[in-house]
Amino acid sequence: MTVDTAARGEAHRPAPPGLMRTQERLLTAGRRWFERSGAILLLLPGAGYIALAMAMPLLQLGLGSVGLSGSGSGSRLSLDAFRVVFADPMMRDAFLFSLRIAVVTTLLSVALAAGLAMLLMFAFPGRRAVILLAKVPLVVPSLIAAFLVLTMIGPGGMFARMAHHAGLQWPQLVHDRAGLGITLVLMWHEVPVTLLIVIAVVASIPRDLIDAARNLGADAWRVFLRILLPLAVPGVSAAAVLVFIDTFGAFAVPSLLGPAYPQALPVTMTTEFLERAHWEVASAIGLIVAVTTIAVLSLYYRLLAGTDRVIAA
Amino acid sequence: MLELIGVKKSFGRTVAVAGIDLTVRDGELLTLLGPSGCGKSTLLRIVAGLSEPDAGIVRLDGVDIQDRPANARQTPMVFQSYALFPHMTVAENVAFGLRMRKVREADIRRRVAATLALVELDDLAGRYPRQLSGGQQQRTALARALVTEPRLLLLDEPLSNLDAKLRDRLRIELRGLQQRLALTTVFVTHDQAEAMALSDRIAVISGGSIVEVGSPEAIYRRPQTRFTAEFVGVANFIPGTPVAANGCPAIRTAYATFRIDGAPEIARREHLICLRPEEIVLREPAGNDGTVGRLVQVAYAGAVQDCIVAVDGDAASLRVHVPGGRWRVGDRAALIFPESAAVVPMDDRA
Repeated sequence: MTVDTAARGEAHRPAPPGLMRTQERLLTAGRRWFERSGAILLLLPGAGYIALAMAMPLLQLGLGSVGLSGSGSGSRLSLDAFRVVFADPMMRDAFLFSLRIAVVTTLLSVALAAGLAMLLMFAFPGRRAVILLAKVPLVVPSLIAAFLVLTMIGPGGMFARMAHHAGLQWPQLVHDRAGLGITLVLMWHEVPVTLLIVIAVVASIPRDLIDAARNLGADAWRVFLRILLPLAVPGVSAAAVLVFIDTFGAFAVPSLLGPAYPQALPVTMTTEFLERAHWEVASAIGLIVAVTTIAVLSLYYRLLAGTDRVIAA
Repeated sequence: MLELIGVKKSFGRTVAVAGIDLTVRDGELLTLLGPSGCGKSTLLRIVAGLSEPDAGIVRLDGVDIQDRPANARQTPMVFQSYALFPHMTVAENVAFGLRMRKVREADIRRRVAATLALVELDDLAGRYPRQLSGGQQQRTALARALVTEPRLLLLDEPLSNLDAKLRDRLRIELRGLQQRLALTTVFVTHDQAEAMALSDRIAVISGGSIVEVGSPEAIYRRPQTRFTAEFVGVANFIPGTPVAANGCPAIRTAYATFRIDGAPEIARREHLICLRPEEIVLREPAGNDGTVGRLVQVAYAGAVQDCIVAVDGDAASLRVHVPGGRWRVGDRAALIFPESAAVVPMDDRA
């Protein structure tokens, strides 16, 4: 009781000036710390997501490929996985196969989408139906498309049987070494995505520019060549980069429609860690895929930096 | 010389151009003046071939150019947005029209340089449009049109995106250039002050039709229609009836009897006298004044005072511009009217 009262008395008594200053200083420091960490807390939803969802997997991939965080084996820094990957001709073929599929699909998709977009600039009967139909692949998963293609152009598929009835030899379009079936299905999926982007890009070009070009003597072809094309390049090439990244890392369609050899890089990667438990090798392949796409992306930015600066009015 | 005969254009059910006949003389600057949506820009696009008329003839120097596509007309246009190509420099923009006509490269370089010097942009030839100010962009657009040495220059509100000061300066420059080069020009604007300052003749347009065509002075001093009187400048309308005064046609109103300027045809119906604010004079009231009123509003407008005068025994009030600055709100004043004035038909709302 006495102690309690004394303590309370103590609390009510004004603190000596030196102590007060210390308290104040502490309080200010605390407030500053809170302000600073409060800002960090506010950043968490965005920056935290980026760190967790994007930086971490890449880090994990990098560490795993050099034997530092692979599960199963002990942690030991080594470049063995890369040695294995670079020494194996199968890996080199897989890389080239994926690269070829990605490049061919990208070029064909962009060309087809650009052509379609230019066509859709004109009014013609059935234009809306064409736009609607072109969007169908957007809502159909590519795995289903792969099955559709398999039942249509695969050996024993619809066309093959029809050809057989007619006494013709149906060429091998799936499981082929050229990856034709894969390219077809990937294109089926990528063209509409590209088309949407290209249409938006072309629509964002002011109508006045086209009128001004015509007014100054440019015919339709030169309006396309001198005005539309250069102004559409940044947007269209962005679409091309997206298609490349998407198709270079494609797994489902190549694993379903690809040949036994060569396999696409992501298919090889899956085999390495699911069937052989070669985590380091799988990580190394994953890193090679990631580095390739990052290289393409930075090349894109490097090439377009000039154009972008000019266009961004 | 440009001739438009019976030109018509509709968009769906909306009539944009309702049968227009118009001639633009050689070396003349003719302005199409009207409110937004009156069809003036559509008419210009028809002349340029960017829009196809439903009916009518477009003739340039006596040749029907109706079937020529836009790129074969040689009627360069300066757009309201300037429509400069963002991926080309000033020099490349200006050279575009010559390149399309396959002019020799050496000639292109010479003509581009000369035209850029004409609009005082020679030191900015290597810049991109986004690196230019609004006025510089406007002059680039003008140079791009002028470099082709057009027989007809089309200007679609080329000054309306500029601030007032710059607009005023470029207006003078543009007019000087047009007169120096004796360029046949069609100018589209909704700004009546701009039209007055620039034009040899003005065609007032409303609802897709030409209301009247005349010199800026005629349009301002002797408007033939109430629409023109209202659209161009400020006007006071005073109702009156026709009378004969000393054998001259005149209109008697509640305030005074006016002789009629330009003697338009006067039907046996009510008319409106159209008085500009500076045509009415205010004076200190004396004993035997005709019309007296009280100043209900006085605004300072630089050289003049912009006054609103409530007329005694009348619901109407008149807008009066008086030089100097001696009038105050609440002052009483006698109103002195001119002897003659413009007259417009009362029911005309074209």
